[in-house]
Parts: sequence; structure tokens; C-alpha cells
Amino acid sequence: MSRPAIAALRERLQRWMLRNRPPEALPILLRQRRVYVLPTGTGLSYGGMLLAMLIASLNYNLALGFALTFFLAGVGHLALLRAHRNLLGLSLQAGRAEPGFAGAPLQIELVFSEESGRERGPLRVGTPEDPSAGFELAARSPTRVACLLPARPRGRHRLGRLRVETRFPLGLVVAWAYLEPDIEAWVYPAPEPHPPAAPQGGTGERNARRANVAGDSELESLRPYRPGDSLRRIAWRRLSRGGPLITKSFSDPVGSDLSLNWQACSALPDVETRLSRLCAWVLQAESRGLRWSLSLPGFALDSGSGPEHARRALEALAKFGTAP
Amino acid sequence: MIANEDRSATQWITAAVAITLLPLLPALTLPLAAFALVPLIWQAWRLWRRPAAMPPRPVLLLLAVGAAAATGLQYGSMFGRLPGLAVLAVLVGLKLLESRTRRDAHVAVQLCFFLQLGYFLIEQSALTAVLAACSCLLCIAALLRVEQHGLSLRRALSGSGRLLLWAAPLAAALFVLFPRLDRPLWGLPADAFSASSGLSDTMSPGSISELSLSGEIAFRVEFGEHLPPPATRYFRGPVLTFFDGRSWRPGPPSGARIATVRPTTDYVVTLEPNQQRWLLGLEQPVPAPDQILTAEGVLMAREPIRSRVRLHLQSHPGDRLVTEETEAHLRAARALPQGFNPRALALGRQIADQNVSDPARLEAIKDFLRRGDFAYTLSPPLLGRDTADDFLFKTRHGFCEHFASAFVVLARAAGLPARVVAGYQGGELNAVDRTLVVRQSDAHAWAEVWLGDAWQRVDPTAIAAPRRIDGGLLEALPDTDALPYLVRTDSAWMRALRDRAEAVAHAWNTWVLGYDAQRQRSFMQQLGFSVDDWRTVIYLLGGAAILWQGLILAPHFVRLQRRPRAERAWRRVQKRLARHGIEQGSGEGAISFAARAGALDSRLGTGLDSLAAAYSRLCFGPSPDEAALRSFERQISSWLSAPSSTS
Repeated sequence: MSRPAIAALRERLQRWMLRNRPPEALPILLRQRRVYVLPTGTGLSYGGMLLAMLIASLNYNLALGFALTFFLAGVGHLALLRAHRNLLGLSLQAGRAEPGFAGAPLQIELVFSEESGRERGPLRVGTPEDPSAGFELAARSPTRVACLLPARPRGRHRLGRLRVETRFPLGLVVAWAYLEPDIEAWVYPAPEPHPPAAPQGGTGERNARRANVAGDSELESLRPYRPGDSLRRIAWRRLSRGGPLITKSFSDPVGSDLSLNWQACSALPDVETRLSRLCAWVLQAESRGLRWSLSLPGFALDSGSGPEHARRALEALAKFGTAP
Repeated sequence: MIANEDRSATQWITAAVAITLLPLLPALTLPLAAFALVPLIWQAWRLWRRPAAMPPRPVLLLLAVGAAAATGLQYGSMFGRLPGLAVLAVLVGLKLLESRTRRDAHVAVQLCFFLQLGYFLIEQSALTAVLAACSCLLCIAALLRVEQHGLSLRRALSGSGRLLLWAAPLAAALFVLFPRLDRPLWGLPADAFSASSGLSDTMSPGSISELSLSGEIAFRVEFGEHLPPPATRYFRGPVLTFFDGRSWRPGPPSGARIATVRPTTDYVVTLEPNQQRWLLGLEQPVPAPDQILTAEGVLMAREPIRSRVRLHLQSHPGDRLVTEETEAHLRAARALPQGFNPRALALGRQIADQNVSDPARLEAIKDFLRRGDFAYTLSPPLLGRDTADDFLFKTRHGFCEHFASAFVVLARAAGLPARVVAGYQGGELNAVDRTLVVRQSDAHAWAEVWLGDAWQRVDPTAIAAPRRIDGGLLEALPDTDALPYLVRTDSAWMRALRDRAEAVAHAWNTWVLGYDAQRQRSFMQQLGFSVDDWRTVIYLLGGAAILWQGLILAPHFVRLQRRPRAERAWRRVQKRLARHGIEQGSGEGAISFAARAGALDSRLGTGLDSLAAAYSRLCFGPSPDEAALRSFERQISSWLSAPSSTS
């Protein structure tokens, strides 16, 4: 079977497993009907081993061989039950997605809990293809899990399908469930990496003077991430290498009003690159604490500043050209 | 380089492999044991002493090729039981060395399980089972550890133990119910069963005295109430008629019709595998349908005994084998090789001349043995070409085969049809489980003489050294003869210890190892099921599996039903207050309920407020720890037992 055919088949299977449920409101409790179990590759080879051992025991009439085989068969079956139970009764209590940028992984945060008083072995959560964020759960204590989803195009997106899975306790069996929580994420246009300086005060004079600065102020220091920090300042490269969340802080040069508008980017060939540049300008202006305004075809934001101001601008950029 | 986290998982797997491999090593030859050990030691050194890189691929390849070559050289083949095990053992070690991923860990553990199965082909003692259980425990703990980083050794071992414990009922049910085969699915490799020493169907000087050095058990007999006296315990093996001057072999089949007798003794023989067909029953056995009774009175199985069997036998023991006999066989039983033993032949002729009747000739020969100052010894002097002459007239020291052989030569020379019978004689009663243990050292040879209507047993050893028959080998031998320690048990406590160990082994053999197709059938019949109906078997297996699953899931459901601990404790307060007619409303919180109760009855209210506050804290605060719950329960108990609330 060709690769696309397999992908299509998998998609159909997943849809069937979700029983065409619409995205669900939180909390989502995992019940019997949506937890699936299958042996893993090592589980299959374990089964093959058991069969070979059984045949050998039959042939040589090995009493201890039978005993060993049956013990291991019991252990294998227990592994299956335990994997199933490890997922059963788990619930997704809350979740939110940090706004992200097109082309960068989407960071989400999920809160799982369980009420049956059983502590849960290692679990993973993520996209159906790659559930990579691992966590464990103590009995009755909600646990926060940070998870990166693959990059998306700009716009407003549902998180889509998530997969929670566990290979606990022996790695012979994987138990999994699909979740489609009703959580939305903003994906802003990818900021242009080295934008020219933003046009200032409507006049383009100082443009040329600062063009070489390339929009970068001095990187001053790194400090641990605090909720509320601008995503633009997160040291993504560190994060992608598995490091902690770290915020870059910049020295703020003194500034004046900026007018960020569509026309200023008219030299750029297409909509996306223009949006990228505008996005970069917005972030730049915001990180320097300047006052700025934004105007797009069909959207205008008066001069202002602050995270809320920036958010409205970025959302407008993300939505631009798409259906409202 | 192994990551720190993975290193401890790898350590666990290494330990699991080591404990699996170690009991196996003595069974391998030295070079192969070394090949299996080298990767293990390398790995251990690398893990515990110095985190070094794994050996380069060429080295691994060299080890693998070397091991394969050594196996080939040692055993002549790569297939079969021991070579297969050797290859597997080396493979496990090599796999261990390159074990980095989760998959590698699984492969190593699965190879370990295979290795254990292979080891059962060699040895299935209770001790082996204990070792295998330890190794399983460690293997599964290692898998747990691979799956769950940072699991402590204690928790992993207890987790693994719990898994095995839960699996035990299912394993037991399957063990009893799973259909066993009467015969193998395919031909067994030539070395599937190790050649064990034991009685063979040729007898030459020294062949039985060699056995007498072995304390190994040949078979066990359970007699029930009536243990026959030692002098009648002759377990009949091959009958040897043909003599070539040095060794004795079975003659051509006699062809006579053997008379059936009414059995007088019932007994159960548990025969160790001896690769032979004879079943070593007492004399004059009565054959079961799948057994053969030869014209020489030997009870035979249809197939060589390849694994331990348990047989119900019946016999009519006595020193006469009443039968008809063919002329051809009697002629063979008088034949002597030309040109051997001239002095014995002359003596025989002289006896024949002096005595007319057969019984008289027999008496004369016995007399000669009795008066001849013969001695019984384990280390007889070497005999020359004329074995009977040398023994009868020169050395006069010998073991049972010397006596039997010389006696039959003499008898034949005197014109009496005679033959040698090999088997076991005597045995020792195990004081613990009352079974008669017959060892290889109880191997014996005696003679039979044809007296017209029956073969009369004559034990020349008994004539010359009577204590051999009544007291066993030990009694008959001079103290200077070397005997293995287990055979020569002088100290009472050693004997008691040995008896106990052998009783355990016998029970193990009977109930665990001996549970084969036949026993399964009879056991199931006792329970009222027929294993021949496959549907019954499937129903039983399915029922057992469902029952087991229920057993496992039951605690889960119980726990679901069970309320949290704090709530259960508070229920006791509610019950007490309900006795006073104060009930907590469904929407009423604990604190307001306590306040209401206090207002209704001030005596009850004492301390109730603080209880309610504690309860609310436990319910709605951060999840309580063990100490907080316990102190809350204590508080409730003391409130309940306080005089103010008991009125």
C-alpha cells in the first residue's frame, strides 16, 4: 500500500475511533469506550516468543517450560490490563494554547487529573503521529503538561486531535485514546527575521538612517520565563534543544510614535511577506515599549501600546484575508 | 556513551542476564563459557567501574564468529540442545553489549527467557525453578525500569513480584488444563536427552562395579503398606544368555510362551530416564496393555524411557520363574565359547560326573562357592583372558558380575542350562516419604538355572557374601573400599538430610515434572472431565481465564466503590449523630451541619466544630497526606469514644 493510502486509512480509523465527535468541551473523561489497546512491536515479539516457548515445551514435555510460558503469558495479559487501566479514568481538566507564530511549534499546556485514587504510570500526550510530551500523575493531584505541537499556518485554529498513550507497565502493550478538546490557538504570521526599521511618525526620513540597525536592539540578558512574557522574546532555539523556557530581555531604546501600515510594505511582492514584516514591526515596537498604530486594508488600530494593543494587532494580522 | 538515566536500566538488564546465565555456565564447555562471560564482564566493568564506549563492531563480530566456531568445534554442529544453548548464551551477552534502546532491552530480556527454557532441557530440579523465578523477577523488574525512569529498585522488584504473583493463578490453571502431548510434535534431536549412566545390556568384568560408584537414583518404588524384605527385592533387567568368553549379551529371543501368574504385589515405580526399554519390575511381573513381557520374564516398554515415568506395576515375586522353555533356548543356555576357561570347564565336568540330578549338581556348585573363601569387593584385581578361571582359582575377589559370570560358566560346564540376569537389588527406604530409593550403586547381577519346569534364581554373590543381599552394598564391602559420600552415609543426620532432600525431589518429580499427558488424563478424570473432548478443555480453559480476569479486576471495582478515607471517617460521625436524630442534609456542608448539631444538643457539639473544620480542610484543601488523614481518623475515634457523645 502506498504511503498516502496508509495515511488516509489511518485518518479514517481515527475518525471512527472518535466516533465523529465534534470537538468536546473540557473536562474530558476517558471512559472504557474510548480507550484502545494493541500490542507494540516488542509486544508482538513477546507473543511470538511465548508461542515458540509453548511449542518447545510441548515437544520436549518440559514441565518447567510450561510453567515459565504460562507465567509469562499471565504477565503479558496483566500488562495489557494495566495499560488499559492506566488510561482509564484519566481526565483532561483544562488546556490552553499560547499564541504562536507560523512556522514555529505551537506551545500548549494541558492539565490532566484523575479521581480514582490510583497513581498513573508514565503517559505521553501530543499529536496522533507523535505523542512526545511525557508525564506521570500522582493520585488525585492535577498535573500540568507542556507540549509542543507542529507548526501551523497563520490564523485561528482548533488544536485538533490529540493522542494520550501509555506503554506502562512493560512496554508490551500500548493503550491510547484520542481527544479533541475545544481549545483554540492563535497563530500569528511568522515575523520577518531581519526587518528594516519601522517607519516612524508617518515620515520615512529616519528610515534610511536606521536601516542598518536591522531592528535588533542589544540583547541584554536571559532570564527564566514568566507567564505573560512576550512569546517573541522566548529563546526558541534553546527550547527546541530541550532547554527550559527562557525569556530574552532587551534594552529599550527611547522611541516615538510609529505608524505601521500596509503601504509601507508595498515594495514586498506578496501578502504573506508583508504580513511577516508588519508582524516583525509590531513585535519590535512592542518590545521597545513604543507607541504605534497599525493600518491594514479593512482594519485600523489607533496609536497605542501595551500587550493588549499588540495582541489585537497580531490577531488582525493573523486573520488577514481569511474568513472572519 | 550511555546516558546516565539509561545506564541504570542497562545495569538492571545486565544483572538479569547474569543471573540467567550463571547456572547455565557449568553445563557449557570452558571455552564456550568464557565466550558467554566475556561480554558480560565487559559490560559490567563498563557500567559499574568506568563508563567506556562499547567495543567496536569488528570486536563484536569477532566474538560472534569465534563463539560460533568454538561451538562447531566442540559439538560438531550448531544444532541440538547444548550447541543451541551455547550459541544463545553468547548471543545474549553480545546483545547486552550493544543494548541502548528500549527495543534492545526487550530483545535481551526475551533472549533471557529463551535461555531459561533451554536450561530446563538440561535440568528441571526444584532449585532450577527457584533460580528461574529469581531471574524472571529481575527481568520483569528491568522492563518496568526501562518503561518508568527513576523507579527505585525496591519498587521495581515489588512491582515485578506483584505481576508474577497475579499471574500465578492463571499459570497454575493453564499448567493443569493445557493439553499435553503423548508424543513429540517432531523428532527430537539426537542429544535431546543426555546419555545417563545405568545398566546396559552387555555385562563384562567391571561394568557393574563402575555403577556402584554412582549415588545417582535409578528409580524409586512406592510399595504402600507391605514393603518386601530386602532379600526378595530383585528388580529384573536384561537377561544375558550369550557369552563370548569375556562379555555377556542377550541371546536370541527364547520364543517360549510365558505363563501368566496372579500378582501378589502392587507397587508404583518412578523410573529415571535410562534410554532403555526395560521397566525393572520385581520378578514375575504382569504386563499392562502397553507393556511387553518377554519370554525371559523381562517387562519392557514399547519405546525407550526418555523421560521420567511413573508406572503402576504388579508382580508375583519369588525365586522361581515358572514357564515353558524351548529346546533352542536351552541349547543356547548351555553353550560355552571354545577354548576359554579350561579349569572351570574341567571342574564343571567333574561335578557333572559326581552328581546325577540337576539339583544335586547345582548344590555342588553352590557348595564350591560357599567353601571357596571368596570375597566381595568394589576394586577387584584385573582378570586375564580366562575370566572365570582367574576369578575362581586365582583372585577370588570380585563384584557381583564376577560371581554371576563365573557361576554360569561353571553351571553350563556341569550341563545345567543357566543364564545371567542383570538388574537392581535392594534399595534403601527413605524415612521421610517411605519410598524405596534404588540407586545405580544397587545395580546387581545374578544367575538363573533351568530345573526342568522353571528357572530357579541363584544369587552367587549372596552365597559368597550374604550381607550384600540383606544389608546392601555398604554392609558387604570392607571399609577400605572407596564409595561416594552419598552412598556411604554413616552419620545419621546426613542420612536424614539426604532423605529429606530426596523426598522433596521425589514429590517435585511426581507432581510437577511428572505431570504429563497420562497423568493429566487421569487427574481430569478424577475431577469428572474428559480431556479427550476438546470442547471440555476449551470450556475449562476459558472458564479459568474469565475467573482469573475477574479476580484481577475485582479490587479495581471495589476501589471505585470505595469512598475516600476522610469521607469514610466522617460517615462514622454522621451515623452517631443520626442516632440522636440529627441528619446531615444533602446540600448541607459539614461546618454548618456541626453548628446545627451543636445548637440542638450542646453536649454533642463539643469538639464537633473542629472535626467539621478538619473534614472540610481535607475535602477541599490540597490533597491530604497520610499523616493528616491518620490524625483526622484518630480525632474522630477519640470524639466517638468521648463520654459526651455516647449518651
